[in-house]
Amino acid sequence: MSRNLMKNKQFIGKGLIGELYKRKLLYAMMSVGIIWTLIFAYIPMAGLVVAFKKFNYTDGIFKSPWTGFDNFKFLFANKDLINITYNTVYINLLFILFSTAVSVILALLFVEIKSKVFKRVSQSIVILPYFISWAVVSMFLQGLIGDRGLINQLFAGLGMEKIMFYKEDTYWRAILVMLRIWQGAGFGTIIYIATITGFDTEIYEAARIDGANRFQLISKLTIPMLKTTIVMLTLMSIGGIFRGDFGMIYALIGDNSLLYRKTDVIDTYVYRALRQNSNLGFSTAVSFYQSTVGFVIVLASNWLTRKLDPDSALF
Amino acid sequence: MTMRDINQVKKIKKKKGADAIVLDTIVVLVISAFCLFCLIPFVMLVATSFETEINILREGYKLWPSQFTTKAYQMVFDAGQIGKAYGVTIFITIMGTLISMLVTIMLAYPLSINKIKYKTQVTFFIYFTMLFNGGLVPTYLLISKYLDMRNNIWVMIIPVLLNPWNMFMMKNFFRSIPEELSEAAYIDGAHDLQILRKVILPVSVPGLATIGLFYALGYWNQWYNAMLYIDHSSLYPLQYYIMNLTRSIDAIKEMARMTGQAIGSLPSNSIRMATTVVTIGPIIFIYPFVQKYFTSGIMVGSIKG
Amino acid sequence: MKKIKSLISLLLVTALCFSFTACSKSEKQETTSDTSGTTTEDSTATVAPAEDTTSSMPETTIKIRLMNEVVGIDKVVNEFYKRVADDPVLSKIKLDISYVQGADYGDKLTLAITAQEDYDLMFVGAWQGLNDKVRDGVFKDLSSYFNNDAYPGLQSAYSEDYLKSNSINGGVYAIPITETFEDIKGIVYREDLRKKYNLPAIVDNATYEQYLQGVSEHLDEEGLIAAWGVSSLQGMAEFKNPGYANLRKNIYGFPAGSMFYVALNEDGTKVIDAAVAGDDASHWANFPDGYNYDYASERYVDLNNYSKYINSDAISTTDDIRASFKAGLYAATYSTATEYLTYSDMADTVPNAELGFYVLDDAQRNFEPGAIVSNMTAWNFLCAPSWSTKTDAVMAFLDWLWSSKENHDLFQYGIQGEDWEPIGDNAYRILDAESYKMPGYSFTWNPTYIRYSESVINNDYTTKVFDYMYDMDTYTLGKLAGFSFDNSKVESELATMSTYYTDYKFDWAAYGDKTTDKIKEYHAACVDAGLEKVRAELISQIQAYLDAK
Repeated sequence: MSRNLMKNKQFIGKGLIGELYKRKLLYAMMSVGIIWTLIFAYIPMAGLVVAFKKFNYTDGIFKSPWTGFDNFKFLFANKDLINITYNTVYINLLFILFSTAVSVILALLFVEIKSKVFKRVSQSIVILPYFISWAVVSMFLQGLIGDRGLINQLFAGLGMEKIMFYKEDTYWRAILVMLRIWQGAGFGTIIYIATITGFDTEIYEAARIDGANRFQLISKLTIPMLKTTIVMLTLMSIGGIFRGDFGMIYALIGDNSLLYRKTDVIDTYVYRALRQNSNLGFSTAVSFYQSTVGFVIVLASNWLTRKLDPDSALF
Repeated sequence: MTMRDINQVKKIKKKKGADAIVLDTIVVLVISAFCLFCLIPFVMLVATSFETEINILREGYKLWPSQFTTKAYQMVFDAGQIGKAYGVTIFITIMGTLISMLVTIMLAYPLSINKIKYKTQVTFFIYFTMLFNGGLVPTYLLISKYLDMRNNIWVMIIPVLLNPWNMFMMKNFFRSIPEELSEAAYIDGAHDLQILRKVILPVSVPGLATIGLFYALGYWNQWYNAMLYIDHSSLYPLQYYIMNLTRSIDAIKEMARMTGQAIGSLPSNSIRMATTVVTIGPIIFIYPFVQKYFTSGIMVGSIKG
Repeated sequence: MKKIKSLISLLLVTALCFSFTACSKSEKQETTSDTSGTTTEDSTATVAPAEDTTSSMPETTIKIRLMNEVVGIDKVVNEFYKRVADDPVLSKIKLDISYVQGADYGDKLTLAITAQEDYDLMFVGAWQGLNDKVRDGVFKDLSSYFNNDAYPGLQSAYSEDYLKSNSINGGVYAIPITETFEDIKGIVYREDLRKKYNLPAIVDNATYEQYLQGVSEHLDEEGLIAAWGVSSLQGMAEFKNPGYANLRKNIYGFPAGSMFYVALNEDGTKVIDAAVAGDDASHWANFPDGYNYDYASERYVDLNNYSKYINSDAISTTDDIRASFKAGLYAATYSTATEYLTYSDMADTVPNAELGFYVLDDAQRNFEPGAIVSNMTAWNFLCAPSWSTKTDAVMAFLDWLWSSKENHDLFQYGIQGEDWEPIGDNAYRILDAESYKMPGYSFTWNPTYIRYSESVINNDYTTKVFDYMYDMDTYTLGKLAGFSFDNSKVESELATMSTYYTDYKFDWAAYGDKTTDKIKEYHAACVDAGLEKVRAELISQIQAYLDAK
């Protein structure tokens, strides 16, 4: 009798159905999220076909005629295409790199704070910039580095020549990165702090007893243990590397073409190009292009991560 | 304890003393500097919200208003609808966070277990949606036409229920929990749901608090779906209500320009500041209370030596 | 068993949550909707329909969507119901007016059209892809309602010329909404400063420059940032702009990616050529006298002489230059006649401020009749979606709206005596600005029913300017009235070229002595992007239009 039972178990154990049944609770739990994703993310994705169609308002998404790659022409015909692509990727890389570095360093410092009051207060302060809209930041920035701004007033007071920040593009990548850090690094510490809090304190105990000082604890224990989280977050960000932060850059740069050489990204260019144009196919085409390239890059990065450190890979 | 041991301990203590001071100084200096970096613009924001419009144009942004006025705040609270907007936002924040956390945990936990065979496929399935998006029009057609969710308060919750970022971060938190814990419970005869409830969740408080915070903030700042799908002003969430205020002022100015009315100076700059303060206010009050969940009192390696 | 129980309870909880969707939705539908417009419940309650044994039209609610905030519409709509209570057709019409803020309007329009939402009349701006939408068959051709004796209101409000000028593809797919065809462009300046520094009266560009020069020497004393405040949106685009003078010589400007100057022969039957700044002489050679060279580039170079008078951050500033002018930070800024009125209370913030208005175009400044060659096109339109079934009711209502001054004024200004009061026949005064707000440019404006606002009639000069502006004799119908460019074959080229057009900041004199080189660069970029194709397309379409006339 036991042998029969065992045979049954083996039979059920194989294949999709078997797998589902074995951990049916877990799969049932996942099904809610999966069905939601199917409805609200995958069904609308069908609209991506508009990228290859001449969208007609009366025909709608499915009956509009196909036009192949026509909708992509305006993007690739731009003489500055290489430059704006380079800007998009480079600025995004800078953002990822610096934001992560500053967030991690701040997080490491935060957990070392002894005074509870100082800790609570400072943590509340550093997340404030996250909630200030870029439109407001733009106004303040003008007040700081504009022609009549504080910095130039300082220069004038010291007898030095003014720097026309809004007429020269030299400083702007640095300015963008600094603003990005200001806005997001504080908020970004939250996830790292939460992760560190979850670390097993026994390991730290053992290391202390072995004579490690606090610097060593941080460098040899905390940072390596944070690696998985850092890599995962970075991988997720890389998928968007072909998408410029339109909200930020357009609010700060706007139509000031004098700064475009260093700061114009795909998204801001497309916005300007399509201001007079209401062809849905154009904007969908660009989005499709950005998604596809990002996708390829993520696949490559993920594959690389799998080889080097499988635990940190996304999938 | 031998003499050698005592000396050893003394040495360790001394080392701890020195490096502790250095570290603490660095910590305080750097954190304070960064705090200043973050705080000063905020002070300017608050100051400008109390400044008259003319002075803002003439003197720019300062740390203290030279001509104090509450005109901007009057405009914000005047219309009276703001109470309703707060109500709507509180509702969608609480309900939304609860449901989102439920769905996210139900997805993240199974994906964090190594033994689940299809976890890579499901992960990919979810991740793909972070990259590819059909765009506004198909989503709008789905929600407005086929699901008919217009003018329904749930349109601000259900279509944005699951945030893949948050799900992946939650999965990461679950993965960092040692497998032995769940293994032990499994052997004791518990099934997955019980393990989740009794073993995993209690240990995941920092992660849950963090993701809960992220979802809550997302719902709190929500305005886009309201703009698209809500026509009844009684259902406007706070952020959208506030945006409309600012735009109202711009529209009034525009109208005055087109009909040649002289309307004095409207607080268009200061109201932008005032509305920001009104939105941030509640968050800053609540945040310190939430903090304790993801920064426990334990400091890494700080046992007094 | 336990497993299954837990699983079921979990799924039940989730299902409960989703079921809230169904419940709260029907709740919302039952409660009286607090729309930003009017409520249908209110309207049926107030007026009992007249004896309608003869009328066969059922009660119809027409849904109207406007752009920008509408406040206090309920009382006006109720007044409307009162006034038409005896009319068999009109008394059956119920109005549901809602609005969307301007900033979101374009997007929401696209979505509403794609989802074919239930609206019977919608505002559409020319800049919101009107031509494309008409081309795609989104809106109905309303020609049959105009010049139709059954609709006298529409007849009197819309002359044939006016309609023809705004027709697209030969039909009335969009009803133009405007009060005047031109808002006189000029510079508003500080008359008090001019007098203070003994500068000559500003009667032409030379004296204007003298004014700028004179004021520039006293910036610090007067607390001015610069003599001439220029915004980041427009720059000096209207200054020394050949547009109006061109039109009087049959040269039409078309911003199609680049700014094309299209010259027609004297009787307007043939296209001579279409030229853009930077073109070589061959394109310009056959233009009318005085314009047979690249005057566009010449102007760009000339603007550099004025860069010393404008604010140095003109390109990047986010300030509202008009507000800054009003705060006394500039001595002159671009304005239109209507906008000029908004400065009338300037003395409140800048004591002793007096203002003057310098009209930019020579002929207009001298109030010459027929000086403005106009295509009589509006920017704002009302359209009826093709899927709407209530167009008859809509047109009946619009006919009523524009059939008399009282009807029109009701909706445009509100309840007489409460929200506004008339000053004679031709002017009005607002009594309560908060109780009624109607963006007239979105709904009610019409050239037949004009009232000047109070501030206009208080000043002799502005009254003169306004009279000139609203006088139909001032306008000459352009030869290309009614022509609309179909960009479907050159959409990609236009998209690329339009970025160059906005990127090169010639109107801000941004390049100094490098201007000529930059023009060449700009021209070369446009050529690469398909300039010749657009030029050919433009010329052939215009010629076809002229041939068909």
